[in-house]
Amino acid sequence: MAEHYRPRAKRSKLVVRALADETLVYEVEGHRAHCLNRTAALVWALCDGENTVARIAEKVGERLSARVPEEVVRLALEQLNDRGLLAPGDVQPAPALNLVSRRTMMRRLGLAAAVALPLVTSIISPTPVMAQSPCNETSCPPGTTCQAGVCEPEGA
Amino acid sequence: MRAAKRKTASALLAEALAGSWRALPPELELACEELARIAPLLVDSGAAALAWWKVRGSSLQDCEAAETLRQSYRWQALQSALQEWEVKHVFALLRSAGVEPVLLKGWAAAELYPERGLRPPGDIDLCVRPGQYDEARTVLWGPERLGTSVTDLKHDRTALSGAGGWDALYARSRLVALNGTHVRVLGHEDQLRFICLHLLRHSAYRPLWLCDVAAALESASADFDWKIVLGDDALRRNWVTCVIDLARCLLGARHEGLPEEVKTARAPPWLVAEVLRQWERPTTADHLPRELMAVSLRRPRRALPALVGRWPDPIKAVVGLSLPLDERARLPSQLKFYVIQSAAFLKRSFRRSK
Repeated sequence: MAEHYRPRAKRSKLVVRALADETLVYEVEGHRAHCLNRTAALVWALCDGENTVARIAEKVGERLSARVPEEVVRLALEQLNDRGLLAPGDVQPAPALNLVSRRTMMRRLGLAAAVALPLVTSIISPTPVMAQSPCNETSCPPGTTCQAGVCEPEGA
Repeated sequence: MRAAKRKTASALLAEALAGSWRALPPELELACEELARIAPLLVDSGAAALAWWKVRGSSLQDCEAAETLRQSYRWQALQSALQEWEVKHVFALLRSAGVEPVLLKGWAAAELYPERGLRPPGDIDLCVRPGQYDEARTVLWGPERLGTSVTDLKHDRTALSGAGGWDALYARSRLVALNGTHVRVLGHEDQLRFICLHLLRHSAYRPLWLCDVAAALESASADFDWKIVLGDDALRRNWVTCVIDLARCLLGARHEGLPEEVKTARAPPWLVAEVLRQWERPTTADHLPRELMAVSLRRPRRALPALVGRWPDPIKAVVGLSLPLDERARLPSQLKFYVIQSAAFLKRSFRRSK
């Protein structure tokens, strides 16, 4: 069954921003943000419900100009699944996703290959940036008034 | 041997941000401890992503503080993407009501950075044809409006309107592509003038604002019309040229191609020192009064600190009184401004009590 598994990524209600060496994903509904390294982002992009794990490994290898074992793809899928970045109805063959830990794989593949290991991390919101200018008497929405530079509910 | 003098946090901020708006920023030569000292200021003031832009790829990127900057960079990149959606939505709403807005400051300024996410998005700052203000306000605060960004429609008209008023300003505005549509932003010259004057109106407390000026300066094309930036008014010329000099002397903005008047203008030393002092408190929260004056005055213990806390900084006083930024003593201006502000407060209170 595992060889026929064709993962499908969650695509809706997400804001995605690709940076030079990583991809950022924000879940509009859950207000969670994730950072995918290049390998994880490549795997995620190829999860279209058509590609098998083997095919994804092959395509990622082409993009990275290196042989990418299927375990690497499975590790990426496991992390994507943990973060809720695969489609809700996506049923994964459980044994395949519990194959190896990151450490085991790093040992097995050696240091050179380790740079391509997929990694999905959470982005923690830093202290909110006070980017807004102080309000003035006309910039507050109805029902609020500008008090000491901040829009406050009327009567507060 | 004397120990090296400890640099102030604002001097470190200036070093961390110098050239940070460039695609290839200069190398940052700070120690990890120095970066750690200013990291909270960078994060709170919205300049952390720019600092990360300089730190990445250097030996500093392994410092603990660098990870904080990197997280801010990522977070801002996402916030910027979210705001793009919101800007698009706001333009669609206003256009459906027959209002064509012009975007300024934040999102428009971010265009001049190598990546939009390097500059925090902040408010959505728009200006509309004077006769359409009420209509725009109704649409923006109506039930169809989605999103959470504060939309600011009210801006310093004198800073906005250069030669020719609204029509000329609109004619100089530009359409910029945004996710399958186009949004209108201020012309480069109007934007530079506006951000210089806006920075002074707010006592230049955010280093990011000076980065905006530096980025605008360095992106000026060969046909950049300095007459529009400087205008005819001597006072505004003085203000704008002083801010440009601040960008050069504090952040190392390049001055090639600047007209002679701009190149030779110098910000008075007190202004440079005051801006650095302001950068020690670089967030909006630092500059808001803790409570309304009327509330403070009702509690005697809080009245004195409230009165002292409203003593104006020299930039606010000089600009508030529409005086040039020069070598004259600032104390009389501060005193005069304080008296005027207090009188205005008393007048408002008296009217309310009637």
